[in-house]
Amino acid sequence: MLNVDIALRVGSFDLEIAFAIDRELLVLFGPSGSGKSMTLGAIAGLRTPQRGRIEVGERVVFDSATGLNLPPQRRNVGYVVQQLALFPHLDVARNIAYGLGGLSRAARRQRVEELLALLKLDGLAGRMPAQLSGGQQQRVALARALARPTDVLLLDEPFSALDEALRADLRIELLRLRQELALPVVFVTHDLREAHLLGDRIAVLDQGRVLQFGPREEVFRTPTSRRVAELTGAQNIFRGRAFNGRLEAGGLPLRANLPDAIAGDIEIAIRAELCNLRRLDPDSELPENCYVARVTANLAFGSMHLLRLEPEGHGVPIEIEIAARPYEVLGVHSQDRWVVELPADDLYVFAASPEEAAPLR
Amino acid sequence: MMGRRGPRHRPDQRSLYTGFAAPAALALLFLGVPLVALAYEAATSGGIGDRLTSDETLAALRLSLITSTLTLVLALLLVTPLAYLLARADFPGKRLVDTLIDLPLVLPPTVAGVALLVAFGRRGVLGPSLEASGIELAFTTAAVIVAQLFVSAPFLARSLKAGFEAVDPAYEAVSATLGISALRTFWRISLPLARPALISGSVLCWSRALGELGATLIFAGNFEGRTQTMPLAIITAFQSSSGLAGAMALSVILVGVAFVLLLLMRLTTVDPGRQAGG
Amino acid sequence: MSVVARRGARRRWLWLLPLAATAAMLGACGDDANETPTATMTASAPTPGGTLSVFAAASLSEAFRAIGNAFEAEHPDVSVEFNFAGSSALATQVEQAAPSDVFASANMEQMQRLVDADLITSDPRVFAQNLPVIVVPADNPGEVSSAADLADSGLSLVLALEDVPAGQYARDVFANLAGEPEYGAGFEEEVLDNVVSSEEDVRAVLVKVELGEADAGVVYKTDAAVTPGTVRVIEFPVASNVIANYPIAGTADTDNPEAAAAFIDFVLGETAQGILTAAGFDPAP
Repeated sequence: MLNVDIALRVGSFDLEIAFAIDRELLVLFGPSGSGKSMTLGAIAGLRTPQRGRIEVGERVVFDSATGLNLPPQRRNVGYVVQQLALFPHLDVARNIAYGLGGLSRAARRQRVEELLALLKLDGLAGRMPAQLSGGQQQRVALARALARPTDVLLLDEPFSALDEALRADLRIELLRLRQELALPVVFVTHDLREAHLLGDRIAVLDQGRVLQFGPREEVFRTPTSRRVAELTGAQNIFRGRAFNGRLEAGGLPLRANLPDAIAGDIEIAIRAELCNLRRLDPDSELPENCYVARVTANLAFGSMHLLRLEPEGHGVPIEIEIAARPYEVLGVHSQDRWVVELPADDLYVFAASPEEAAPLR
Repeated sequence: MMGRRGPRHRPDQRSLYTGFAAPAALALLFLGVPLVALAYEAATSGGIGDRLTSDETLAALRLSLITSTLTLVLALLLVTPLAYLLARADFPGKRLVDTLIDLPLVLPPTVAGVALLVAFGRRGVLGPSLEASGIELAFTTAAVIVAQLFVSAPFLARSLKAGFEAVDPAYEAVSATLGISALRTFWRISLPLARPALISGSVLCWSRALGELGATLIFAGNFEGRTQTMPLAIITAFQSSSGLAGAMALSVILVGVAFVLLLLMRLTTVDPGRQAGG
Repeated sequence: MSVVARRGARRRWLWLLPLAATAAMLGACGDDANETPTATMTASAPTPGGTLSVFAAASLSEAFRAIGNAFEAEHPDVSVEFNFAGSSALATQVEQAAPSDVFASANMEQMQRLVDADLITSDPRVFAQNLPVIVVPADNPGEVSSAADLADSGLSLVLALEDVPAGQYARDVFANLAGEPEYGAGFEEEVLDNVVSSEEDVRAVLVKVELGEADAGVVYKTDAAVTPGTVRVIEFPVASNVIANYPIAGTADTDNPEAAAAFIDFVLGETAQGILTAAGFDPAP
């Protein structure tokens, strides 16, 4: 397990972070500069928090109350840094064996063989780092981090330098590895899809604070603040008002799962792929949470389309993501006027942040 | 590796290379012609052979090679930690120290020799305490090494500092998380990765030590067999009846030996990183 | 240490091998019998009775080496070692307590400096004299035939620096000549206008003339005798010329005063005077 509760200040940057995970994969998700890498550094022992406590495995490795601060060498942390930092003057086998000085020669060789097999690096033992592809370098870095007894694995944007196809492969491999290793893993990324694919749990970080921490689906489906909604990719965020348990935006009454005790100015978020498009039927009444809108932009992204619509009467400007197949079935390209539906279960409502005068979208 | 695999020259670079060829050739001529002229003059005026076999020359040459090599070894031992601290550690007065190590480069060598004399000479600042501990430095072979060290160590320090700065601290951090102590990390990671700087700095340091004249002449004196290195022998020959011819013959011997040694050094130091390609 | 690291370490130092090998090789073939340089590193300089350390002006190097050999032949128990450098550098060294027994200077000024500092034990004695002379390249492109021609406009003249004895002597001669009616008061200034370079030492003046870089230069008579074919010597008028005196004396830091006194006597004796005369010096007055 991994239990972190620390406060760390570097210059004017102030990090306060707390989480506990078991043998699962935690994604630290947030924009660059939010404190993700700094958190990993603190767990690995490369940075000393001003106060707090870190438990790795069954051991306390840092505790400001008792003055305990184990050096990185004694924390049993496997750390893959963002730039990988494969030792350029050592071949693959020596990179992997680097931390195995305590073992006999035979044991060392055996361990290297195991890791080469585990990470599908067979036949590359004698290569120098510069002779490896990006994916191979990535695997060697992982093998090196896993070579010694490891109680927690820290991965800092490990796939950021790779092309999309390779990233997909490596992510799947990481999921496989996680099953085999049964370790707590902390994975830092600012890639939304990567976070979604890999994380058992997700901690959303911004400016040194954890905005939300929970199981993946919960974080993605029910952001608890505008900022989390933004960071987790809710493209549509608009202003509205709440009164007497009812909701209104752009003159349109809306039904939504209202958090208790919310009233007055609010913000409403919905992900683009969760908005529905319906054919306009001039003869029937509009159902709830629906309004008529006109397509003002239509961008094709291969497997999906992104539509931008402006309301004709009441309603709000909206972005809708629609997959290529339904796009064709509906015949979206032949029609300008549509009915937009904002499903009540997919609307997230937060009190408007007073300091941010968010432009209406 | 890339160079060997693909075409060596990018087409757009070819015109740059051609443009640079002329000034490059000029630089080469400028550096080479005096040496060639020296060799030619010395060869035609004769005497290189006699000088090469004379006891005095051999003694000076041997002394030069031994002292400059010991100087380099000492410089490596003393300057490497300093260069590493300057590159990595934060400490008060760091900029001051950084500037300080350049100052011996500014001093005219003769003044450097006087500085050493007033520091370590018998009447120098540290003279009495050195004498009390039975160490006499000035005008001994050790003084030759001290003089060379004083003027040549800054070259090594500069180069090594830049070399250590170029090593990504992430390598050292990763090494620490792999259970390797900071000192072992220095030996296994930082120093090997600073190798190109270590080599170029060593070449500079050794060459400067080998050519050292002014500081040695003042601080160590010009005692044959004891402190008369090749540059001192050259300047002494210049003052003797053989004059210019003798000085030139000795210079050619010094330059020739240095050339062979530097070339050997280059040939035996294949960078493993480059050997591996990338 | 692991195998990996040891290999790394071995490769790191490999490049020192050629250096070490060469040093060892030279060490083996050199035959400097008395002492190896590394052995002297901790030994203090002259052992009483045995060694005599003579600090002599660089321009004396050749003559004094011969004198040293002759002295050793006469006094087999004493071994003479020389430290040849510029007189002012030697004086600095003596001031800083260099292990010296005898100081032979190329001018009175540096000797006086040590006398004033109480670093000289005996009265300095002049053991040789030298004269400034004009040298011109063998083909004499400036068509210089006498001191008067040095004032010809367009002539390029090199001297030693003013604070080097030879440079001072040359300037003194020009001042003397300017006092003579046939040269006239303007002579000194005209000559100095022709100076294109002031050299750090007198040998550099000689080389510039030898290589034809200058039409004329002023050096010592002894320097001009070094490479007879390459330069021509023109003497200054005797009446206006100055005499360079070479003083010798024992130094206060000596631990071998007897040998020092014996050496000074020897330098003033017949054998040494003969050697100095052969080298172009004028004998002691």
